[in-house]
Amino acid sequence: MTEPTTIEAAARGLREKQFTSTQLVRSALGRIARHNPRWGAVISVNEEAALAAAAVADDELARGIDRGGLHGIPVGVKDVLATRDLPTTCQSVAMLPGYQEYDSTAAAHLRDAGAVIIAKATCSEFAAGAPDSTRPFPLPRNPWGEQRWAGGSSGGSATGVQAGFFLGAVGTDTGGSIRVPSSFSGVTGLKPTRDLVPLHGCVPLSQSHDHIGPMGRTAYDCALLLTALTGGRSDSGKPGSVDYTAALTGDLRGVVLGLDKDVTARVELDDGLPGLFEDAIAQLESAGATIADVSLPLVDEIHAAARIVIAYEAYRTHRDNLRRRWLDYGLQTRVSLLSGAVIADADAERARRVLDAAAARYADILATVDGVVTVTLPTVAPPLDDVRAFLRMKSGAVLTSRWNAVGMPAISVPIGFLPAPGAPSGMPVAMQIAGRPFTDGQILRIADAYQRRTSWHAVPSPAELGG
Amino acid sequence: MIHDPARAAEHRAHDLAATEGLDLDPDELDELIAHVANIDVQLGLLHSAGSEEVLPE
Repeated sequence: MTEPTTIEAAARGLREKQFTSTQLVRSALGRIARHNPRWGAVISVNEEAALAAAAVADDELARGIDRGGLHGIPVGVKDVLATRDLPTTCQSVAMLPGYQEYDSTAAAHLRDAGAVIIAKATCSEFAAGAPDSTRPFPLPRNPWGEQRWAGGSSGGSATGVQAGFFLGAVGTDTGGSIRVPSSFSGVTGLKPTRDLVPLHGCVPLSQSHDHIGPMGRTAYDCALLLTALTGGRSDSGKPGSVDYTAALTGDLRGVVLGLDKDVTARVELDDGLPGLFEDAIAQLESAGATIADVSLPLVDEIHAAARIVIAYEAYRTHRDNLRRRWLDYGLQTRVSLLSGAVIADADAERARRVLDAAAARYADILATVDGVVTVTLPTVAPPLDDVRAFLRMKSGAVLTSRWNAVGMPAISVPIGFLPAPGAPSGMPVAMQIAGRPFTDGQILRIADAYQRRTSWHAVPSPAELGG
Repeated sequence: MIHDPARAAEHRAHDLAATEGLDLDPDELDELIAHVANIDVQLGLLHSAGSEEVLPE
């Protein structure tokens, strides 16, 4: 069987009877068994449950029951989301109680859409810490160079997609945790509008900033996943009743995209990245988009307020557990979480007011354009032994975190590769497209139109080729 | 009053550890001081003119 690399191709193959869901799932489980020890993208699998779900999917298709584009598709779920048949650990010995043996709403929506959850994907501890090789969990490696960081915190979701362990994945994003690993690992990842995907059953880092979203090889695959994850959100409430693939026409005529030159100018980009970004903008123009300058203010103030709110909320989520199980947390994680204790209630409240006001300002500015485009990150993935330096670099997350703070959708799309030591094929870089709340379909449309004209998203990684 | 930001962060980190009843080792303490210093920078920005400007009257 020729293994498909996208959900779109697999869905087509299933309906053309080129293969069955059971064959897809067996193939994915085989890749995990052979290659996960090297790439560290998966923390747990339940072969029996996955094969049983695949058999049901095959039986339904044979009887003419078609649940849509995810029917029979193997997917991975970040290990911070509760799943009834796989343990939830958050990659921590100090796991919080209350997240075992039931499905988070996101996982339930995936199953309603016919997806086969085959694995839990590795992540940073509690979606907060830096990679820590001293902990008793697999460490996600970058699919383009295994001595480099996959990105955090949804690193296993990104690497697993690139390695063919699953065709799509679900991640979470509090300040960039879907888009950072998507950029570093060369996949496509969407942080949806706040609350578009229900958070029930997701272990919180910061309730006001957490988002659940799709990761895949393409924007089209992300649209399929988002359709399932939202559970529809229509008046009927039927899963799949809102189809985020419907707007993916490849045509951007009438679309106005803002270039936020101010924020791009204030971060130092890797050599070669400005040229790749200019090429990406030219492709969007060739698809029919009009480019306009925009200036989104308060970058530093939003970043500061967001970090205060996240640290304040994260400490209060973990306060009791930290006191009981201090040494069960990794050092970076426990100290980072504890530091939120110094933030006073009044400062957190002020930070929330700043963010609310900033969101209103951004909404006004984005009313004049259909999306805002920047690079996703200023650099390629750092070596694993240099991650802390990246995390300390203020510009590392400034481009991603503001969209969490204002609750607006943002997607990361691969735009090329830059040379880097230890990465024979080069390391991927990406652009970020963001927009007004609940324009997730429009953001996916822009990303899809770009990918119809380019092939960066389809370049096979060493993890996919060599396993 | 401590005016040196680094010393202020160190002081706050020690206070926090004492309040929580934690006997931190040197690595933990260094890391906590760095985090608290970073939060202090963010708090400074939160009370800056830029943040003041965006807040409704």
